[in-house]
Amino acid sequence: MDRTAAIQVIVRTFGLRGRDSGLTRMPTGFCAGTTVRDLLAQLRAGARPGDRLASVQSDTLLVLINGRPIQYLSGWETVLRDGDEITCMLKTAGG
Amino acid sequence: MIRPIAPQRILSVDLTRGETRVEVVPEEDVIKYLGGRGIAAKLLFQRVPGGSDPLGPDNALIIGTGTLTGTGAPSSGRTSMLCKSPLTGLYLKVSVGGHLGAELRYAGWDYLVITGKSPQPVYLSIADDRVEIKPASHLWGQGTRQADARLKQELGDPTLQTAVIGPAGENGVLFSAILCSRFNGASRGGIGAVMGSKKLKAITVQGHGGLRVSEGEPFYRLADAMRHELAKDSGTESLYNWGTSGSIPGLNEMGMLAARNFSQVTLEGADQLSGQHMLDDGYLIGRESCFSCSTACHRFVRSLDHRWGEVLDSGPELETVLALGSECGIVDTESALVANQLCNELGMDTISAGHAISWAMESFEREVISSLDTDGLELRFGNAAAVHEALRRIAYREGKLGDLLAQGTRRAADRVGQGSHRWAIQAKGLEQSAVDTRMAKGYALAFAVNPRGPDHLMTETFAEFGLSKEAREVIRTITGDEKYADPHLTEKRAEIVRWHEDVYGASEALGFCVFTSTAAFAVNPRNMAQLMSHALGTPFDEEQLMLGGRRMVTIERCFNAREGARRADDRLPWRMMNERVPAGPNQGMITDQAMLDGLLNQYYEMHGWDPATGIPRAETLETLGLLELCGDVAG
Repeated sequence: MDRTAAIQVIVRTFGLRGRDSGLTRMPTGFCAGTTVRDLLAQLRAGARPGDRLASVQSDTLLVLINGRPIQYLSGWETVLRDGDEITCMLKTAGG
Repeated sequence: MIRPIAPQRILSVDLTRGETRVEVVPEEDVIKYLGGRGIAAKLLFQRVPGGSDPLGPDNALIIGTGTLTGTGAPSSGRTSMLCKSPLTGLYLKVSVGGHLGAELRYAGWDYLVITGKSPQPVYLSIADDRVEIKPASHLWGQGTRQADARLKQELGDPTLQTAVIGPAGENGVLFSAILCSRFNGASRGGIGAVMGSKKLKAITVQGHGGLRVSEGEPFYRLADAMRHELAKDSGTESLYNWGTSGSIPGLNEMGMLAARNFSQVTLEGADQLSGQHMLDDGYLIGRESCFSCSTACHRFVRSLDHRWGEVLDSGPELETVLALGSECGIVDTESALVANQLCNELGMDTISAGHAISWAMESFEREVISSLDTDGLELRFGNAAAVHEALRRIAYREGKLGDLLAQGTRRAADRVGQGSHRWAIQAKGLEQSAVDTRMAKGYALAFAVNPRGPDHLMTETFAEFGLSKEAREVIRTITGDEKYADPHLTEKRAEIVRWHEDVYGASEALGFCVFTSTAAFAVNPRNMAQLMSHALGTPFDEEQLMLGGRRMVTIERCFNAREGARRADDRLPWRMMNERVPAGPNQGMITDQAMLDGLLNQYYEMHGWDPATGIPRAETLETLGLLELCGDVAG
């Protein structure tokens, strides 16, 4: 895999930056081979003080790639592909 | 009086004769049927003759408190209410939170069995052993909150617990609800109409006694440990933060949001209906716990700009904002709050009301019905004012539209015809809750076999999504491999559903909120059985607990078999079985008849039910010790 090649993805976070209901969209460039785990580390590094993103535990996050939970893919080791849309939010339950 | 957990006491009330009677449930029955929903299911089977008119005097309204309700077991304040449903003509169990069950137990009663029909409106006043049937003509016609306030004033006790119907229950709306102490709805299947048919406006409860568990020290040590485990679960945290409607953003992102009468799976702006939005923008003004619950998922909200009217109310829950919001094509927070408040005050199930209206909206847009049928109401998707007006008309059965929809979606579609059953989101006559069963096969099977109709409130297989390590562990426990934690698979769904049926039934019989065992997972068969053992002071294990759950599921099945229900009734709404998911990550998925047949075959076989009819076999009933009770309907 050519890790110098760039891929563009869209990252959306919900309830992790500032207000609970704010949906933040950001086009982001990464190297080929970047995994969901790498992505989360980079997002955490860029978090502002007070953002939930800075302190939240990974296993409380719901991460979707193109609407599919990473649990149905390769989990945290899922490799991002060019054009992917990634959504990160806190898990919820009950109905 | 401080009394032990068992034996338990039944208060039977015959409203025709104006008589009451006291009976005792022996401890061996509490062990066999677990209490609450289990004993109540047995009583319903015994006391409501097959073929009874659901709105006639022979139907019974049975209230069963959980065996651990009133103790300090975590989140154990649930109460089951049972009857034969006027909406489906089948078995109906509704579970309600709040404090009614604990108060009833402190008054010295574990079950109420109400039969007959009063000639005049009455309410039932229970103050410990003093039980009175009192006139309620002055309350008839009042909304649930107004009647609740009046009763508290009259009885001079602002802390008493109530169960009240509104105008919808009085007028025989087939999905009318009972509101418990203003804010907790026992809502599905028309249980409020059964109460209304008996001319019973309300029940008031004042209890001054208590309960004593047999082995107090280990009981409360374990209860405390369970509470701490529960607090650590991410599901619990989200329920506290945002309530059940916190799931909306995730559902929308995953293409699983029920929208526009299930014709769409996402809706732009649906986040406006979420618990996160209500918290951020100041709609949320408080949270409250049910009895002995540290989660506090219950919401109190207010309107901000009051453009549809002023709101100061509880909720709304996830299913409410979906049914009365996105399913009607509306993503307006203020509208959802008003619609929720209307249903609470008028006493109606929000799920059925919303889906009856969304069916009518689709019918209107398809020109199957016209403004002549709606008495001039422009019933189009997105019309919030029309939803509010339709709710009011339904509760009073006003005009053509109100009377049509008050009978529920199945009867409305039958009456309108023209193929409108294809977008009637119901099966067995019950409007489905807003879960897309086309992509989640465990849910699909659970909904199809649900004795009261397709919803998530008898058996919820949330663990099959495998979104947390706790959920995957549950699936591993059931199937032996966490690879089955995938809702798209059909393999092992019968095992997953049956396990959840047992746990769900056991949880409710003991009084636990099922959020603690099937949404979060800190309450499990092992620790429930241990608590039961300490409460009764007798050995009681996980196997007995699960068997108790199985028994109640089987009795419920037999109740429906006696009413004529068969395999063909175990189905999903037409749209769920015939129209594929239209877009999103699950595009093209469906649970069609062939797939459902395969799931049903596995499920019946596992239960020991006749696959041709879906009726429990005699040997199955014998194994469960139910032959004497249910043998007449064996397949």
